[in-house]
Amino acid sequence: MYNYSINDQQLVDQRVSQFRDQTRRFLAGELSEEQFRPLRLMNGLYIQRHAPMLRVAIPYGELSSRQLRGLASIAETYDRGFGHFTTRQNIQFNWLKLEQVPDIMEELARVQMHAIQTSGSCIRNITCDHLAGIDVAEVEDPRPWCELVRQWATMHPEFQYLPRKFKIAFTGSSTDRAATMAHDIGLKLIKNSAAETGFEVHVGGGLGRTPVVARKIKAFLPESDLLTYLEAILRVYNLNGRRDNKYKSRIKILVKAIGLDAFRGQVELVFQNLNPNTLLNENTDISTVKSRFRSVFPLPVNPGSNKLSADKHKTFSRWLEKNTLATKFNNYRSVYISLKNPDRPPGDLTAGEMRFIAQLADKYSGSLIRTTHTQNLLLPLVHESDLVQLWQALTEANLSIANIGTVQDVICCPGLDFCSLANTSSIPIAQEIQNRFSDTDELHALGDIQIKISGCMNACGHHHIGHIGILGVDKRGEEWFQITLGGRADQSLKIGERLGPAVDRNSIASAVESIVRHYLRNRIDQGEHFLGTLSRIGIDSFKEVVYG
Amino acid sequence: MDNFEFSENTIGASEWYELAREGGCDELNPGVLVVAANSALEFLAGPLNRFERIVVTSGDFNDGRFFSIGRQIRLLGYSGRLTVVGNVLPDQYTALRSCGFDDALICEDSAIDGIVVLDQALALAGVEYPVPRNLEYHTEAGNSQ
Repeated sequence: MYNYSINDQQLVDQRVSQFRDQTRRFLAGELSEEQFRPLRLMNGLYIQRHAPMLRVAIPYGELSSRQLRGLASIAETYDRGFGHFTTRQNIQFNWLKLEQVPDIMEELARVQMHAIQTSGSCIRNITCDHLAGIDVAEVEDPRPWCELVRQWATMHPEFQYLPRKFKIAFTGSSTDRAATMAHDIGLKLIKNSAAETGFEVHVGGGLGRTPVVARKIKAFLPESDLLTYLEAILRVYNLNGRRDNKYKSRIKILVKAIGLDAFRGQVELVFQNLNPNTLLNENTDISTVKSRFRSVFPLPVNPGSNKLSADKHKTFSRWLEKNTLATKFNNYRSVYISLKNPDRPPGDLTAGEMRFIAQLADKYSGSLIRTTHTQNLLLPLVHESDLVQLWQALTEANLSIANIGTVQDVICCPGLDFCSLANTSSIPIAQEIQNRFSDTDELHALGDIQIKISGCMNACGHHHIGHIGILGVDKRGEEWFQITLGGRADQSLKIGERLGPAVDRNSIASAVESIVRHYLRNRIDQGEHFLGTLSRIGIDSFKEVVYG
Repeated sequence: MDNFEFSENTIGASEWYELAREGGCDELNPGVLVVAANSALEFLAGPLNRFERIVVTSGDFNDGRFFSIGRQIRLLGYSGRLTVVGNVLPDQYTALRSCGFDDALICEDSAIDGIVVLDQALALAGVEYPVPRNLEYHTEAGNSQ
C-alpha cells in the first residue's frame, strides 16, 4: 500500500480548496455552466439522472481499511448509505448535493484519497491487475509503476483538456485481468532477452461505439523511458486527436485514421526531443515510489477453531474453490468477496458492509482490500489457517456467495436506474439472469462464463468483451437488447460477434438462459469452456436456440 | 483569433516555416511569431529566439492544444516571452505557467479583456492553486523568468 508523501498530501489538500472556490464561483454565478463543466468533471463530478454523482478514484484498486471506513462515512453522511464499485476500480456515490461535494473531497483527502480526473477529457484513474504483487506468474509488481504514472498524470499541466478521456491500465502478468487491450494505453511489464525489465506498450484500444483492440506500438520500452514515452503519446494525441466530433475523438480513431506506423513515427519524433532526466527527477524516481509502499508482512495468525461441522463442508469447499486462489506466498491465499448476488445491484456495497469488510481486513489481510475490474472486492493475502473463520464471518454477513467467475458474476453498468446517458436498464437484467441460475450445483457445473451488460453503446458494462455481451438499445421508447457472443477480456482480448436482432425486455433473460443451457448440452465435457464450445459448434447453432 | 495582430511586426507560423525552409530567416527581423493552436509541430522551425515574443492563439479554453504547443516551444529552447491569446480561465493559469507561458491575453468573441502576467496573477490569487511538485516544467524550459 502506497503512503502519501507530504507533497502528495499538499496537492490533494490544495485541490480541495481550489474546487471549493470553483463551486462557490459557480453557485454565485461567476462561472457559467459551460466553464464549470470541465472543472467539475476533472474532479469526478457528473450531473446524473437524479442528482450529482461523484466518482472517487481507487488508484490501481488498492484500499486500506481506513480508507474503506472513510468511504463508508461518506456513503452514510452524504449519500443514501451505499456506494457502487465500477469496472475501472473506482467507487461512485449517486445521491449527493453539489454544495456538499467540497466537504466530501476534504473527507477523502483526510484518508489519502481524491476524485481528481475520474471523469472529463483527461487521464483517468490508473488501473491494474488486482492480483498485482501476489500473482505466481508475475514478471514484476506493477503497482509502483501505476503510482508513478498516477503522480505524473495527476494535474499534468499539459493534459487536462485532451480531445477526450484517456485510460491507462497495467498488468505485470502473462494473464491479463485488467482488460489492458481495451484501454487507450495498455502497459505490460516484460523482460527482454538481457533479463531487463521494461514495458510492452499497446495503444488505441477502447470499447464504446467503436470497439477496437489495442495495437502494439512498442515491443520493449526500457522502464526508465516510461514517463517520457507516455508524454510523447499524449502530446501527439492532444495535438492531433479530433475535437469536432466527440464520437471520433478517442485516440483509437486517430491511430486508425493515420495508421499505426505513422502514429508511431510522430510519437518517436516527439520522444526524441524530450529529455527523460527532466521528467524523472528525484520525486518521480521509481525507487522513491517503491520505498513508500508498505509491506503487509508480517501478518497476524489468528487463534481460534478451524473445525467445520460436516454439513458445512460442501459449502465451504465450493467457496474455497471459487472465491479463493493461491498466491506466490506459501500458506497465503487471496479471498474474493463477491458483490454479485441477486439481492444487490452488481458492485454495490452498503456503508455497514464497508465497515465490516474493513474490520475483516484488519484482522485477516494486513488492513488491505482491493477492488477488481469485475466489480468485486479482494482480501489479497489471508493465511490458510484463517480461512474457515473468515468464511464463517462472511457467511453471517451474507457475503460468502461462491460465484466468482460464474454466470452470476455479471459486470453491469448502472443503466437507467442512475445514468442519464442510458437507453435501458441494466441492473434488473443482471438480477433476472442471476436468478435463473440460482441452483448452486448447476452454477458450479457451468464453470466460468462472463456476462457483461451495458445500458447504452458507451459500453461502461464492457458488453463487447463478455463471453455473452448484452447491449441495451432504445426502439421507439422501448427497451431492447442486442446479444453478442465470443468476446473476451483477457490477454487474447476479442470483440464479440452479434448473434442477431435485438430481443425485447421480456425475452432477454430467457434468451441468455437458452444460450447457457445450449452450451451445457453441447459441451464435450466439463473441461470445455463456453468459448471452446462456441468455436466448435459455431454461432449459428446458438442463433437457432434464441430465434427458433 | 488566428488573424489577431499583436503588433504590426508579426509573422504567422506557416509563413515563418516557409522562410525557415528556404533559408530566408536571416533577412527578416520580426518581433512576434503568431502560432495557431492547430499548427503542425514542424511549423515551429528555425531560430525561434529571434522573436521577442511568441503568441499562441487558442480558440477556446477547453481546447487544450495550446498547452502542448507552449511546452513544445520551450522544449525547442525558446527563451523569450510566450503569450497565449484566448478565453482562458483563471483556473488554467497555473498549468499555463507550468507549460512555459508568461502571460495571457484574455479575449472573448474577439474583444480583448486585458493582459494577465501569470506570475503576478498567481501571486495575487486568493486560492493557492495546486502545482504538481513532481513536474516543474518551467524550469525545464530554461526560462524561469
